[in-house]
Amino acid sequence: MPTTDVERAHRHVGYVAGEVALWPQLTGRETLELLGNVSRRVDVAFRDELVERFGVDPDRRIRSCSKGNRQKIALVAALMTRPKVLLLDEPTAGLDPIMEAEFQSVAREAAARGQTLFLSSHILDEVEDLCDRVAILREGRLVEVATLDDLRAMRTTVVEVHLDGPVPALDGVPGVTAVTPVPGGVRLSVVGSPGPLLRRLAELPVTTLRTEEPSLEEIFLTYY
Amino acid sequence: MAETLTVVRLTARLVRRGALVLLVCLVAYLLVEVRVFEVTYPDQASRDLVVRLAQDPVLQVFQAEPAATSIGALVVWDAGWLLQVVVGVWMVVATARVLRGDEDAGRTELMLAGKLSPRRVLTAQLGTLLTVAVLIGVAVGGTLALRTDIGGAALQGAVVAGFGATYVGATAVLAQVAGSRGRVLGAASLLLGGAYLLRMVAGSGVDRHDLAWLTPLGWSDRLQAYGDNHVAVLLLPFAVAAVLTASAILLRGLRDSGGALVGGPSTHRSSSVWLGGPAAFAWRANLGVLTAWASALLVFGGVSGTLIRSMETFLAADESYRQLLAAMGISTENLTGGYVAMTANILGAAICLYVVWRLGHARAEEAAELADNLLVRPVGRWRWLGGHVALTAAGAVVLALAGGSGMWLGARLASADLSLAHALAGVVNVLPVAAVMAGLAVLLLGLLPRLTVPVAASVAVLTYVLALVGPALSWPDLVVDVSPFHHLEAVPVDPPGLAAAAVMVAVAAVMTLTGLARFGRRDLVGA
Repeated sequence: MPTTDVERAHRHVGYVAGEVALWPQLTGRETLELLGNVSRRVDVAFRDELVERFGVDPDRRIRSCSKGNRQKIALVAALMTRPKVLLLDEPTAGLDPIMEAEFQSVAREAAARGQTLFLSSHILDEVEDLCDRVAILREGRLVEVATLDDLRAMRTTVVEVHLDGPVPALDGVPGVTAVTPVPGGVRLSVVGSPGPLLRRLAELPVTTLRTEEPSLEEIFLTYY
Repeated sequence: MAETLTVVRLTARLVRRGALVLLVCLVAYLLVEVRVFEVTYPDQASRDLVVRLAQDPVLQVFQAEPAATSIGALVVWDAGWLLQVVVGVWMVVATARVLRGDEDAGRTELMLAGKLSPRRVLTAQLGTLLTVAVLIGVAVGGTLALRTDIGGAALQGAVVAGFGATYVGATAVLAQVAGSRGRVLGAASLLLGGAYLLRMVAGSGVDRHDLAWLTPLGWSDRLQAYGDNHVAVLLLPFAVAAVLTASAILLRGLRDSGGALVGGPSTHRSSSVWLGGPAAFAWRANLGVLTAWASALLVFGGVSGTLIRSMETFLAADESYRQLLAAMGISTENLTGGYVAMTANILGAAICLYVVWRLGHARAEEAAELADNLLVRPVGRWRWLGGHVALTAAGAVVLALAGGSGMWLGARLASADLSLAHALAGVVNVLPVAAVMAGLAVLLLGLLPRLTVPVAASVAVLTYVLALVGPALSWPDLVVDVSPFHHLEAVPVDPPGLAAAAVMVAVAAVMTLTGLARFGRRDLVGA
């Protein structure tokens, strides 16, 4: 599809902006009707199902809706045409935990049907739960695109060491990027080969040594 | 105290730019107006003629007799009502924006989260707005005092300040009663319109003159600045403003923030009318405003139409009047036609402001990030903005029809001889100028979106005034020719200038297409 044919390209895209702005004078139903008429190809049954699942009050004016309710209407509007690609910018902002869970199951169903979801989020737990591949942006530039497993493998290992005695400074050891004290020991993030760290630890009275998968947050921080 | 000052400073910052533009416009308008009267009516005899014209009972429905025959009194007679309407509208819009607009947007909460109670915040905001009203009065009085009697100028300035303050107070009360900026503006417009109608009723007969006390637009008539100078009348506007302001502050304590004393229902029956696409929805969103404009132009046209007959009667009776009107630029051979052409130009200027405002609405949709909802869907930039341009054109035609048929209806009521075709031709003749202003607005929207309304509206007003006063003050052709209004023929007296119209439409088309093309290639720009 030519990227210059904006109208045709947009038929396959659903978008939820980071700051949802809707016409305050319209009700939710009117908003969905308008945006549906503009998009055409609305799956009406699916739209009504989404309205039901998100608990949207369709006859309330946007003016008197909370942030979360506006967010829900924007989500329904983006999903109701079943676009091939969904661009979601902080889609759960303002949603309560129950609706957040509902959003996650809707998103998983969409992915299972073959739709592609781009999720832009600072809530890394949510990204970890939902996404197969993660891209990391730093200062406006894409610095990494990889699956979660690959990210984990190539980036960081988390090592928790307990010592019988005082903890020496370990942040000078090559490969160690973060040092967090824990009771009786220390928690370390290691990038690359753990060899230098292991050689250093060999000289110390180590009582326990545990390595674990890093969380996405820990991986993310290694890029900054 | 420091907190109160902060609120005052914030409010001043929110209104200062608009207030400055208003002040500059008012001062410039009054300077030009005084100059025009000095040039056109240099001696007592010519001024006596104007006063005799003003004694016509039909004209008195709209403008009370001048308080005296001095230039000051004539300027107040001619410009006073317009000045007050402009000040009133500005104060209503500014007050609704500061008090209710910010509350609707949730910004007032930032202030209420501080130490100040809602009443204290409102008091500080109202204090600032009332100061603006006083500044406007000072500017009006000061400008008049440059060339006219200082006592009369001071009184006129004071009554304008009191008038502005009254509308600040009234809008502040409405902001407590009604739940959104839109509702407050609607109710306040009704108040202003009602005041104008009551003023007309009061002017329609000697036995009804006392009714002028009840309408803010009648207070200036009662004051008789430059004439009998009834200073005590000034107590009324300031007392009313004080009572309204105090009531608003009192009522503020009785309602929740974000709420209203009279609440609308939170749910509504949804309607799918005019939601079929971007253009249909834009039409729906503007139907109310267009209806208001059309009604206003219908009424204005109608009022002007009813005056045709009195103008004719006066002319037939007096040769010197014909000379007077010729000096005003009205054809004396075909008086009705000349008068229709002049009125049509005023209607045309109003239509120019409408088209600018209407395209400003497209800009507002972009600024509020509402247009994004449509543009991320299968709606191209050209289709979106092109729809707004098409609706603007449709709105302009609707307004031309409303103004023209209003004139015709008014003439019919007064049994004057004016055909519908002539009335409509006069107004349609001005539409190419509206096209130029629309083209300018689209060009700005494409190139410098934030300037769309301020620049295009200023150009519309300035070029209209330029064509009006330029020739009267013998300004050089090179300057006056800049105004598209100057190139209009006096339709229906003369046939329309098709060449000039073609040039204007071509200029408009080039600007519109350039603006559309630029809009298609640029990023969306927020507020």
